[in-house]
Amino acid sequence: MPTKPFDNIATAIAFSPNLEANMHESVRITRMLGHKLFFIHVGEGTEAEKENLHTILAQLATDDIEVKLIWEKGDIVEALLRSCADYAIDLLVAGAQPREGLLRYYMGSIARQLVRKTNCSILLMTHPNKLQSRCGKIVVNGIAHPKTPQTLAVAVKVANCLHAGELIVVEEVVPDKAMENVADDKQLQRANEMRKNKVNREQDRLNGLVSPFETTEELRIDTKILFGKRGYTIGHFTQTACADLLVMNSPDTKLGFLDRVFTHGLEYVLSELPSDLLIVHSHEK
Amino acid sequence: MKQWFQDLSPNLFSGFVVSLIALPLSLGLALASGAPPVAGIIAAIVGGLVISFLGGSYVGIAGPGNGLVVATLGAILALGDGDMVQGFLYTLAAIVVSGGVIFLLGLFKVGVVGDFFPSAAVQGMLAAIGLIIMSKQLHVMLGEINPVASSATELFALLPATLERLFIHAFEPLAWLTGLGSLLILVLHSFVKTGIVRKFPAPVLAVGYAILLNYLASIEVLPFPTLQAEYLIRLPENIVKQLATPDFSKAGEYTFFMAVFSLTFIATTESLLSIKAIDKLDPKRRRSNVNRELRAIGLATVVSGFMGGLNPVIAIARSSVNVNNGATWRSSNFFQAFFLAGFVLLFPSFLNRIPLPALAAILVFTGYRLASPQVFQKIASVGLEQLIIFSATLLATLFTDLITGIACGMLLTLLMQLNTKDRAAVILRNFFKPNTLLFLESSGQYHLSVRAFSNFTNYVRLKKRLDTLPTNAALVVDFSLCQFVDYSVLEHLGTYRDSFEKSGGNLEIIGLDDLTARTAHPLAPRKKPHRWLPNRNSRRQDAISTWFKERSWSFHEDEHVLRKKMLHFRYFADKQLDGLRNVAVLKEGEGEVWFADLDYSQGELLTKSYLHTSAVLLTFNFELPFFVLDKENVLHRTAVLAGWAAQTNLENFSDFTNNFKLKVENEEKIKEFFTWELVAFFEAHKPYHIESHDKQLLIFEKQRLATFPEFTQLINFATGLSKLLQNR
Repeated sequence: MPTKPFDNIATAIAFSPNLEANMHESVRITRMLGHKLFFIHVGEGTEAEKENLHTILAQLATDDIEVKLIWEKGDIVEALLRSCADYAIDLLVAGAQPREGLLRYYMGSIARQLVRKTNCSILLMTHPNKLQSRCGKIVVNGIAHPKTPQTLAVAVKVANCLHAGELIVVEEVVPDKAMENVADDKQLQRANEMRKNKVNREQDRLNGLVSPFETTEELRIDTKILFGKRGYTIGHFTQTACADLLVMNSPDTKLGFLDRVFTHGLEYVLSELPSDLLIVHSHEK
Repeated sequence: MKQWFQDLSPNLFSGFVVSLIALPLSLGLALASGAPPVAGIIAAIVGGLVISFLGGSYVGIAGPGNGLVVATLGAILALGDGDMVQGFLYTLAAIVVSGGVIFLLGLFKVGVVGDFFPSAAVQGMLAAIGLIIMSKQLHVMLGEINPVASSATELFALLPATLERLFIHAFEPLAWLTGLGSLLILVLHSFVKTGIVRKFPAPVLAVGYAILLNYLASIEVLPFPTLQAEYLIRLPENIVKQLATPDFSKAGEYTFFMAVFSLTFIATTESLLSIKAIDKLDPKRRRSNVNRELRAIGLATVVSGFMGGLNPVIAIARSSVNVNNGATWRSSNFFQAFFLAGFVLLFPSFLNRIPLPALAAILVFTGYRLASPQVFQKIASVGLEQLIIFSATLLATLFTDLITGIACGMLLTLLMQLNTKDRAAVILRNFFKPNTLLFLESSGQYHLSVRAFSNFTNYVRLKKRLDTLPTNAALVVDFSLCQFVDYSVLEHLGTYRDSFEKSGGNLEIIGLDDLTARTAHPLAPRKKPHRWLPNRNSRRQDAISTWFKERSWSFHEDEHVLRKKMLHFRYFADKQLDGLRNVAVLKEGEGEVWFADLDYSQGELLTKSYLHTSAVLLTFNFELPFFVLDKENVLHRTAVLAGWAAQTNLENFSDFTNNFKLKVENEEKIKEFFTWELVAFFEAHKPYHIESHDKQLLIFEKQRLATFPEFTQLINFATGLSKLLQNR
């Protein structure tokens, strides 16, 4: 059994016809990725509903994971964030629309608010209830950043837990001015040399990054260098490569409204999820 | 500097030939613009001198342009309020300012604006320019020097009147004899493909004929009176002393601003289009530095404007003559200016003998080239939509002005692309977002993927990526994530394909198979099929089907036969086979070779992902041992599902075992099966993914559709393997 990347996993629930299915789903994810599962319910419920919930919980009890129910009140996002802090949650699972409508894009969905404010890792799932125990390809960002090694370590663990076949570490090379200004043959030659050098440099760095992890029979670890706008190309590549999961660093600053108006970085991926998205929150050691 | 002297003689010669054509064209274009004839000559001389030293193109020729005729005439009429002479002086000021703007465009490297206009609209605008030039010059050619009308449409309406006057002999006979004769020479010359006549450029012959005719009349060989002064070119006696100077007193007015805008727009567009066209003609396959060229044009325009000349632009017709006469370097542009200056300064009296109807004939012919029925036919063959855009732009330009015309064309193109709800949503959502991804595939070719939609508005992003690639590289442009791709983009890509292929590279377009087009034209815009839009083959499909036909493969309409066979394979055990396309089959001995493009999907973790591949299926009449073979572990999952995940080592072939991952059901059988012949065969070819099942083999390369060269390699590999196995 591979080591699980997370301990405490939390997911929000609400009373709906899908309640039971959603809860089963969360249990399955937890069995693959963590040890404890917290259901967080925000808001009041009738007695009958509460009883119903407890019956389902009783059925869900398994030997390998612990399941807990938390009642919270108030604003849903704030309540979730509060309980994440209180119970030392390290992964929050949330459903998300693969693509946000124009209005939602500017107003922000709950999932997006969570991404912006949370202090733990977060898994955004585009198609709940479709979870299977295997996953073909995982794409991880390989950006030069102190958080990246930890993100990669988590991604490898997740890949092992999900029995993924391939893990691609991707670096996005933003062509700089000299590389873009190709007006004639001389400049083209120079631009290509510069690009070659840059690619070699980045490739060395990526190789160093993945060196602690070995390609095994089960999991092939690959690197790839993309050219284009940072934050955008990784999503595009995930789509082109038909990957099932994209793993990224958590944003350095809390994202605000202006970040959505002037799209950059993580916002490109958030506005149109190319696959499921795992945002890894790094813990400072 | 070295190059200036390296190929001196061919460039000197071509410069001379071009100057012979440039002379009548410059005079004629200036006259058609409503400017004094010498203004055209000044533009050509200044343009040639400045741009040859500072420019970024290699074999382009500078001088007054066709497109600018309309813009300049419009400016003179609007600024002069009926006074052509004063209007010209105001226009010179506008020319100077437009030169400054063009220089800035080059300085801030926005030469790409030239790619921002839909192709059909640009073609419509050029055709309109052709018609506008013809509308005035037809009259002049027939002998009516000053038709009284204010617009192109009125001029066309006056044509019957002019013809009537021609038949009642109201004009001098020598005038229309000159005009029509010159036109005849130009037309006939275009049909002559070889021989000594071809050595002389047509405009030179036409002007020569006209001068000869007038000379014959003057020595009374011909029974006509010689042409009066009004029918002849009038150059100032001392050109250098009588230069016109710009009058800036209208600067700041709205009409002045509009004049600057349209002059800048047309000069830039015409130059950029010409540069693109010339780079295709350049025998040395060099890439012009567009922004540097724009800066040079801007400077030349400022100088030319101050000296009383028109906007110099890069002129395509003169440039192509230049290339045809062996030019290899910018020095040819310098020499054409040099010779032109020589003619004007040394033989001004000779120039004064050139009859206007001959120049008009040259312009009529040029105008006809821009708006000939072939141009309409070509655009109509692309599709009705493009024809509508083309015609609308043409009519709008004819009835209003150039800027309104092209704006109408752009707006109409955009509206037509927005006309369905799905497409409108895609465009609006992704309008400002980046949509290109470039990476190097492990096989060494570049993969350029385009997402959402690709049309004239976001072509600049695609172009940016394309321009950074060396043209001798192998490139796959993948549109499979696009909802639609428009005519402009496909046309531009066609140009890139040419330049890649000519310099030893390769540009393949994939992902258009799923998108369909209204017509069979290879550049017709492609979009998602729906009820009114039946499926239409892409270029790749055409290539593949021709390949099959030539080798007498038979096409299989009924894909279910193959589908059933495919589903036996364990590779598809955890996948959904959605569809097969381009299915063909060939009998190979006792067995068969099947080819198909497969669309399948994998419903794994939360998202469903769609995959495509081009695969070959081999059938035999004998049992094969079960195995999977590949290099990249793609088939590992398949082996796990089958229950034989361990890698098998073939003891005798250690190299093979190190390179390939072979997983088998029964080791004993496999050792018999993998003879040294077969191992050598695998080692000699690209690593493919291969799975065997009963009497069948499945072979594919990448998890994307194969480009045409990859397709032929795949088929060759498969047929080779089939033969090898059957002959044992």
